[in-house]
Amino acid sequence: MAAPATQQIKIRCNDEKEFTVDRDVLERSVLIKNMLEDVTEQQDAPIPLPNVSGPVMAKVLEYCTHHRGEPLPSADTEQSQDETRKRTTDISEWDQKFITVDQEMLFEIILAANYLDIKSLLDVGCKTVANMIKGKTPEEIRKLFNIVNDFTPEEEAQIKKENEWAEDR
Amino acid sequence: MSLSALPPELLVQLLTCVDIASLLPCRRVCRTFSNVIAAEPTIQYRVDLFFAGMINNPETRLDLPVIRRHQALRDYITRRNLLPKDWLTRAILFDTSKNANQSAQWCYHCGIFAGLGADGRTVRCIRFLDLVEGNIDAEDTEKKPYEEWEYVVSHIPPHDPKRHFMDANQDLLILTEGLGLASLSDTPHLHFLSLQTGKPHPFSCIPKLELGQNWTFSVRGYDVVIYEDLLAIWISFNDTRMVTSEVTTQIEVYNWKTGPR
Repeated sequence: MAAPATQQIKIRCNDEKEFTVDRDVLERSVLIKNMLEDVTEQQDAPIPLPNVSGPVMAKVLEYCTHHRGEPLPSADTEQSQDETRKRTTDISEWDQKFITVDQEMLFEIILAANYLDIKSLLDVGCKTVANMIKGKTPEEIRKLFNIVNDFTPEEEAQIKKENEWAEDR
Repeated sequence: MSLSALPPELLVQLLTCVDIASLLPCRRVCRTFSNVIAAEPTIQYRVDLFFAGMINNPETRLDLPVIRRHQALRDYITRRNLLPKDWLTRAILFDTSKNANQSAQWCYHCGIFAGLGADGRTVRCIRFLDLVEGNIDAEDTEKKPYEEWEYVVSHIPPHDPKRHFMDANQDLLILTEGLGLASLSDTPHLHFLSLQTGKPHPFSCIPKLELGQNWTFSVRGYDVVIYEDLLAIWISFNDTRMVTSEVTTQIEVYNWKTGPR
């Protein structure tokens, strides 16, 4: 008995860019997986993904292809996921290399992973940002992410005071 | 696309990954960061834990929803903030026998005296508001301002000989039960209570720690030392299975917040 040919699925991004991908790769995305389970016929029309652009999708697919076949986290392991999420340093070597992109792309990937519901990719993105924040002063964080300090001097002094009190102990 | 353009729920995810030492600077970055941290109980809880000096054991009471734990912690911090400023550095020795107030025994830690009544469950606490370090005599304390409160630990049966140990910094009162020559048939155990209220301590998952069943030895003496989350119980005993009456000592270490190690 020959194994059934891997099903190919077409998707279309918001910039009209289309991809044809093996079904098991796409199913890393819980959003698409659920969509595919709901639809049984007429798979010819591409699945529209209005929230993702072509370049970002290419990157996401690179991740999904590398991790194809790995077990998907189930809903009831949420607790233990929270546990692993806290340990910011443990990103695998491949993931680390994969996520070494400019900030623009990093945040696009995080947004896309959230929209497509790919938990492990969202984790990698969040941990990467957490590692960027690690050990920095507020001013350095603002500079790094181009954030404007919108506190009044009084508010800032107040939070600074609270923090210092904790650091003293 | 930039960090500040991310929707708040993703900022929550991001800041959840940030360790506590880096969360503190994050609170100072901008209003958005500060608001996200304050609005998300799981994150603000970690900040408050840190402020309360309890970073060692953030997982305490996992059985309670985080909002309840958060509330308990806030109450705890409120109480702590009422303490005098030099609270943590205080350590004085004080002979309480003259101040006994009909209580059987007294314990002292960091400005609070806790007396345990002869019924083994009435607790009377006296907090001196203005004590300085060093030895102090009873006459001296009469001139000092103090406040006192009393409660009956009603969920513990009376009359069994008990002893108590305390750590005022953690609002912890430990009552021991069944540890004595007279009560060999009991399972010896410790109760972890709030010093302030006498209710089970909000940060302990195990309001009662059982030390072991059917001990075959008689306890001659014991002591409990509290250090942060840990407590060490030192016991000296005669093993009744032995013909000789040799005294053995043993030290056991427990985590009073999470249970036996």
